[in-house]
Amino acid sequence: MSILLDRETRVCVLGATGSQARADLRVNRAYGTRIVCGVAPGRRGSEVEDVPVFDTCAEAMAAAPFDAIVAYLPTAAYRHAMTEAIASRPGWIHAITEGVATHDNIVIRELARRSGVRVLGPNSNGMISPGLAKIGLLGHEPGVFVPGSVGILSRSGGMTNDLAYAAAQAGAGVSTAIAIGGDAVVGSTPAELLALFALDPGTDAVLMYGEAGPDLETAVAAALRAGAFTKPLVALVAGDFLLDHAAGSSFGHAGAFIGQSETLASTKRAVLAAAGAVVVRTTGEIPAALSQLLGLPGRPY
Amino acid sequence: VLDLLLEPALKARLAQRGVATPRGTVVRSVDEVGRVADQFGLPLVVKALGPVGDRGRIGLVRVAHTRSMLTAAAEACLNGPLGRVNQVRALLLEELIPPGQDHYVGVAIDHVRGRGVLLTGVGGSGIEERGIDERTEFELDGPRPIHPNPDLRLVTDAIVSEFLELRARLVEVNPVRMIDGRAVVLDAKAVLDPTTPLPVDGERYQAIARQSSAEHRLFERNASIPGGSSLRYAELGGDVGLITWGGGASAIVMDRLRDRGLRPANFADLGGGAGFIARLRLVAEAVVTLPLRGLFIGSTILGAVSALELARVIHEVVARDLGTTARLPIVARLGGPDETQAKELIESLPNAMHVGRETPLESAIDRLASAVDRA
Repeated sequence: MSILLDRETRVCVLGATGSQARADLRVNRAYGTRIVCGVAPGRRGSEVEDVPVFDTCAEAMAAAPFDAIVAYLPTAAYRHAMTEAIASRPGWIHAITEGVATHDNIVIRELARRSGVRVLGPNSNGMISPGLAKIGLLGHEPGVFVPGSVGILSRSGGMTNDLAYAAAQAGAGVSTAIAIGGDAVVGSTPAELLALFALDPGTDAVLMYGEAGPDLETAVAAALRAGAFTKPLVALVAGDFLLDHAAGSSFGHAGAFIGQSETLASTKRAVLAAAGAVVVRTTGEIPAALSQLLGLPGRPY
Repeated sequence: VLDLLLEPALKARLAQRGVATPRGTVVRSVDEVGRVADQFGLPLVVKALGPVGDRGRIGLVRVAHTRSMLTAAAEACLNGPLGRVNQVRALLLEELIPPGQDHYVGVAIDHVRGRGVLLTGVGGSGIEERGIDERTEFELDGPRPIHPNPDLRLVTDAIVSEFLELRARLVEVNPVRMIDGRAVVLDAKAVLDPTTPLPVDGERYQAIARQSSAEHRLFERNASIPGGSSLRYAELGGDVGLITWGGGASAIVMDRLRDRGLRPANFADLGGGAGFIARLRLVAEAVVTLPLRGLFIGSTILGAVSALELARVIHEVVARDLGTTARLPIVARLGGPDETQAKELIESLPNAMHVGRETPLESAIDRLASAVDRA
């Protein structure tokens, strides 16, 4: 089982004629993703890997109905193109785009919420439900994402690979892994996505990677305390090194910086642990934590 | 990187919106201050321009009542140790405004709730400890917030306009002083979003300035590489070189170095997509020129990129620039496609160790720490 993405999900690729989008489309389609159309302004009538391309999301929705969009957009076009994409009313839009202005990010998130459309990302490398379907760049390396019962929510696209590998070492595998995005504002928060994993019978536990920065963890802790999420949650939160640098400085992810105490990695770990999450300090501790929580034999990492 | 729009540029923009500000001018050398005294008279307020808060408290804002005081204040702020430490490049000299009631007004982003937020309170030094009095959320594309004090509504509307136009993270005035029922902005600052271009000419001030000529050269060369804007690199003064990519992997590596008591010589996140291999070569060539006790290369498990392709670049740069007899401990974690061949190539370098996907990033750093200790 999985959340959001499976073999039946009809996907539209927005910005389908770009080089990264083309490359991902080819790999993801071969993996099993049901990609039904693409959109690229001015390219109506063309095809990418036999997938028909339309000028707008509205045209695409009328001709080749889809459930979801994976968006590869130039940053300058993000606000306008996402507004148009939301108007076509897909179930969700996963934005891969890096470098989106925070103001644009906020305005689009708000518009999507008012429109009943879920946004994931931006600044993400995608989503994968192993063995079923995948979008973006995630899971291109065979054998890292093994089908299984652990949901993954990660601030970092790259770390998603290592978390999936750790889940496999635990003998558990992955139900759905989502790189939620590394920007200061994300379309969907971990708490919102945790609610979907709570309802998924194919997910027995969730593995979460967070970083110092805007407080996305208090809402997760609240969900744990309120009993809204009762499955085991294993969390790794990085970013202590930011304590050695000026407040507000960001080095890697735009969303990783420290300000008030709730933005510190140590505060986030404490909040999660107090709410019942199993907080690990290294990726090497994850397999043992998961295998113990799920009653699996596991393997040493 | 913390991007700032400094006081003079923001004040000029606010003045165009009808906001009152003191008369003043920017100087870049001590030689210029006499001319400003001739123009505006004395006393003058000497304000150091740099990426630092609460300047008054640390001696970077001074009142000069005489020409000798003016010269001494300018010399201390611009050329003294305090000025150098705080990256002061220029001074703002302004007329002195008489005492009055001081207010704080700021507009910022609430990243968790995805809203703008208007912050109001008592102004002046010490706002961090004192905190704000009122917090009003607003939608960025919705109605604008209104200050509860009618005398501050023009200023508030102006800074909200700047916040939206600059697409800034924060715009604040502190203090804005009430003089005879008129609000005068004495200090103003905007924290910019590094992803947004300035809509007009303005002095954009990066808090982490390029520290060395090597950094300058690296960014100059990077400018011609496709996707170059995704590179993040800074020299940090330690002695463990990092050739890393991915925000998460970089954070894990930096944390583990800290846990092990090691200091990074640099931060590197090569970014992804087009130009990755060219940026890898560029950063590798820059890092190996730093004075190092150890070198780490790697990231999370690779996706579509071949570990062997990366190893070839690393091997070429290290062998050429460090020599084949160097004893610098090197650990590479290149886990992914072709990692077995990558291991063979990396470990043909002296004192180099390769680990694959089965070794967590933190354990790879532990191995480097042990090798550095032994060396």
